[in-house]
Amino acid sequence: MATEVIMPKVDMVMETGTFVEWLKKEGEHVNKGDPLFVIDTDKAAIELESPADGILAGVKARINDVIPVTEIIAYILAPGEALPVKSVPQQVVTISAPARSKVRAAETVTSVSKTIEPRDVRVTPVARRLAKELQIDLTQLTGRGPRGRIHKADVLAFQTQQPPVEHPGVLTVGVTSVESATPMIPAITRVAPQIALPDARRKQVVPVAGARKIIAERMVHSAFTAPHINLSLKVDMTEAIRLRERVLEPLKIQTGQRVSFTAILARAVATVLPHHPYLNASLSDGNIILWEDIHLGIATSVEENLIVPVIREAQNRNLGQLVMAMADLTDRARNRRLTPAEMMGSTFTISNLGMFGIESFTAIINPPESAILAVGRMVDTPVAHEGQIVLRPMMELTASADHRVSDGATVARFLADLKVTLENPYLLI
Amino acid sequence: MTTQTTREITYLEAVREALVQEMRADKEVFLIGEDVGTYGGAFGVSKGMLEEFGHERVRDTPISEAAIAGAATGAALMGMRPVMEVMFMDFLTISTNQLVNQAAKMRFMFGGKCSIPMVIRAPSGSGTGAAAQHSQSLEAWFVNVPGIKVVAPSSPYDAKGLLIAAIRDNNPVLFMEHKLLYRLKGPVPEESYCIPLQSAEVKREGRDLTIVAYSIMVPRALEAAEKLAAEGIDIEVVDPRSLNPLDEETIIRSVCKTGRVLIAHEAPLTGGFGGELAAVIAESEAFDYLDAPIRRLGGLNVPIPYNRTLERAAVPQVEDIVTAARALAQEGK
Amino acid sequence: MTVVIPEVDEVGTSSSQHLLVELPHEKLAWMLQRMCEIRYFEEKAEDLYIRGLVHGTMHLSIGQEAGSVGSIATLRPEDLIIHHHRGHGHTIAKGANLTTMMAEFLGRESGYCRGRGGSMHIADIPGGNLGATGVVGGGIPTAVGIALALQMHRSEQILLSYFGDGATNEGEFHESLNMASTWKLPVVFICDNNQYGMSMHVSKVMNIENISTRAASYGIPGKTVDGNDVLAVYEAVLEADERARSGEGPSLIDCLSYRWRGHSKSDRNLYRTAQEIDEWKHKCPIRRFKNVLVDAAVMTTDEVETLDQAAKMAVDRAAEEALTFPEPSPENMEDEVYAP
Repeated sequence: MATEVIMPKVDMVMETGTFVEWLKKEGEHVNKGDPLFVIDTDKAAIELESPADGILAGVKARINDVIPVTEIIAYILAPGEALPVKSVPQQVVTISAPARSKVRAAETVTSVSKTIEPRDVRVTPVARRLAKELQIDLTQLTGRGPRGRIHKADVLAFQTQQPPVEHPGVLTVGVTSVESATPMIPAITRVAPQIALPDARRKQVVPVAGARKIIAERMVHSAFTAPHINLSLKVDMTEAIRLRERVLEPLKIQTGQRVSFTAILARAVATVLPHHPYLNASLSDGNIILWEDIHLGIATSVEENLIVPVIREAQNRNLGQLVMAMADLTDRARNRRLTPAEMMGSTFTISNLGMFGIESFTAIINPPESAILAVGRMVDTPVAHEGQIVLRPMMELTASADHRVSDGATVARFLADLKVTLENPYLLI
Repeated sequence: MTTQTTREITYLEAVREALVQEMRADKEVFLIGEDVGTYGGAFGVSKGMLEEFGHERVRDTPISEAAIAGAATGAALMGMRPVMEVMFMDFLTISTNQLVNQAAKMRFMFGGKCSIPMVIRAPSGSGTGAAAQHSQSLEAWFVNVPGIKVVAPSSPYDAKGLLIAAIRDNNPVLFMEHKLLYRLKGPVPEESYCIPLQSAEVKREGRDLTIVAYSIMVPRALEAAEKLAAEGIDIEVVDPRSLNPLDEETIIRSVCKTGRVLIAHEAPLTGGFGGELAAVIAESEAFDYLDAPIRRLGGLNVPIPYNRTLERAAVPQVEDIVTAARALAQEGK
Repeated sequence: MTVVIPEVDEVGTSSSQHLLVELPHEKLAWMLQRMCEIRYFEEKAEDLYIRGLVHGTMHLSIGQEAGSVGSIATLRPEDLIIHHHRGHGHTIAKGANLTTMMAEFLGRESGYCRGRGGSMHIADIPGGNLGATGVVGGGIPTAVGIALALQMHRSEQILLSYFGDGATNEGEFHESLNMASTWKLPVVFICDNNQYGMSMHVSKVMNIENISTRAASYGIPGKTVDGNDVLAVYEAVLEADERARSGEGPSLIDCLSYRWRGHSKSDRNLYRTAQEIDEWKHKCPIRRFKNVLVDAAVMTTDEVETLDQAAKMAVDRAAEEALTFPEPSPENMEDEVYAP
């Protein structure tokens, strides 16, 4: 009886093998155990033995054929024996090698880029369940837990402050004070409810929730509690540009990142700010806390939301270290990979809108900070220089400060210092 | 009616009493380990047992932890009920092939056609100044091996009842004896009794917060609970007693009641059994009752240091439990 | 002392020729038939594997049939064995049902271990085969415990504990032989020395000529035998059995042989030459035993070939039947881990 010669499975994960060569000719006599053919697998080339004594016949496999395991590639016939009938028309199924690898790649690549929706409110599981049972809108509450987390106690307190729900057929007697339910922090959800909305077609209704809600609350708080002083001046960036060009390549080698003007600004702010402690301060419980550390917030826009990743102890970092820290933070901010801790606790913020072409603007202080620096675009501007009018790259800086903490002159001195430093950037060394 | 005679004995005496009673009751039970005979065991657990049972059943061995574990495994395969003592839990590292690849696997791997009824007694934990290689709590490794059960009693009463249950169990059971618990005294009935392996116990009832603790952390949690009671914080302490199989129901019921849970163990926090407990709770019905994040208190991720101050700092002490429990109980209140 | 294994061509030789007279004819026939069954079983296993019908890997003992058969032939039915990943031979020699064994190899519910163990872990506990261990040397400490239980029960049974040459470099080997010797346990330690621990030749991993000399460290007898001479293996192991059974303690028998196939299926034989493999094929233990039997006129050529063909048919039938058996169900798998 004809003995089948098959593409052997020689490995647990093997699905196909590449045929390399026959070590015997078709029609030649072979003995069981003689080396018969060679195949190539993912791991190595392997020599295979003849499974029987007889004549090699019906050879189908050729060099470089990629053949599925167990496929018949030849027969060993006893003398005088004919090939089995079924084998005659059958062709070896071959798959071209590149196609195989492509299939493998496609199988392994699966989509993992799912964006994670931010939770709209921070709330403990039991508080969430309770609120659902009591039909309380959690966005109405501010929690007493860490970072505003709503606990069971908050829901219960809120519930006791609510007017009883009016059920049809139930008379309510007397007046319930709605005032008492109002939390102390201004809530954006209640801004100007009396003003009629325009009579226009609505495209979409976006709930004020999550990060948007936090930004809204903070900015309302800052804009309506901190009296802002806004001062501007223009800085000649010629030398800063030169510095950047000088260090661009060495720092790229060192950090793998391109030095941005924001990084140079950050370095300048971190150098100057220790001399202006009232701009690196927080108002708290009737005290002004002057911070030793400069935790520098870098305002970043991520999908219509403002995120402020924080470079801690910026005063202790050189330019290269700042470049690296900023690249890492902004990259992770855009990918929503920042931990909450990395977006909290800044003592001063820089907001740069220069890349959008904005030449100057004023920013709202990011509480509990006491000052913020708004940075505009560099614009080639005619200026008087040694009796001549020359074009210089000028950049407008606007510092906004909380007037409860500092005065105009303090801010002016800070800006002047910053200007000197940026125009003579070698002072940064 | 039988008369129950209960007296105060130590945890160590309770372990010995369980061994002696089981060896009297079942001739297949024997004790094997380094210096368990003439010496009476490194901690004195088997003191006096040689005199009663002889060298064959209180069997001193060469210092060969792999062969000791193999001897216990093979004898168990033959239907005996060996109790193997490893001098320190740390030395299980040398026995691991026999325990993990042989004892734990044989029943399943051989199609359910055999069983391995053995007990591995392992003095565990720090606090004795024995430093990094004689102080570990390796329970998490073994909990992750299907085929082995892991038990960690915290009182003399539990030690006796659980050890008898472990000896009678038809599977390999790792029995952790915390070295600092050996001298702990408590009421223990003279009679033989069994505590089922999958039965957690509420060691103290309370309203505000659940502490899930086992082994040495149970007396520490109870002491912390007394201190916090003075501050008006009412703590419930649940002792799983056996880590695998785990009585999840008792733990979940307690967390549903209090809404807050602190998990405490001595082993390093990272990869510790606390993570498993936290996951069991978070995945359960108790999730909807949680009013604060689940908190874990574990050993620092360091080898146990020698110096007394460093050693104390490396694992949770009563004051650490007090601080963590207080903060957790007050979160959002 | 160097053991030289002769090539078998026309004349068969055995150093224990006297056993041809002392052993009953049925015993000799039993030995030859088991050896043939092992060879055919391994070839069938390989064939099923290359056809993609086997899920895992396997370790074939082609060329080593005399070691397992010669040693187990010395046992009483109630005696026990514990062995290793290259264990098809021991399992067959200990009397396994070929169909049940093939079913286990194929991962079927009706296999010895209900498809949970596979090629590396075939055990037949009621048949006294206490299972194969896949971790090198891992069965040796367990053997100490089995023998300890036999001793504590004052049993007349003994245990054969098998392991490879590589296992004798494991710490567990040392701990176990020392302990078994100290306690005079009824066990015979048998090294299936096929000269390679995966790719490493014994000469590269130990500085002694014969593994049996290690016995001296434990104060027990050690002997290296021609592991391709089934009668020589029988004689050496029988002597060790008697010592174990009489309470004198263990012995170490080093069965020097050779595996024709690679370590497992992924072996490319990069560590040895085709010529070396070929030389060992000329030392085939089965052909040798056949020649010994025929030359001594214990059997005729026809009788020998009849036994051979009966073995082949038994294996073919076992495979055919086992392939029809159902696969196990993953349902309730977790419930099987612990004994009730």
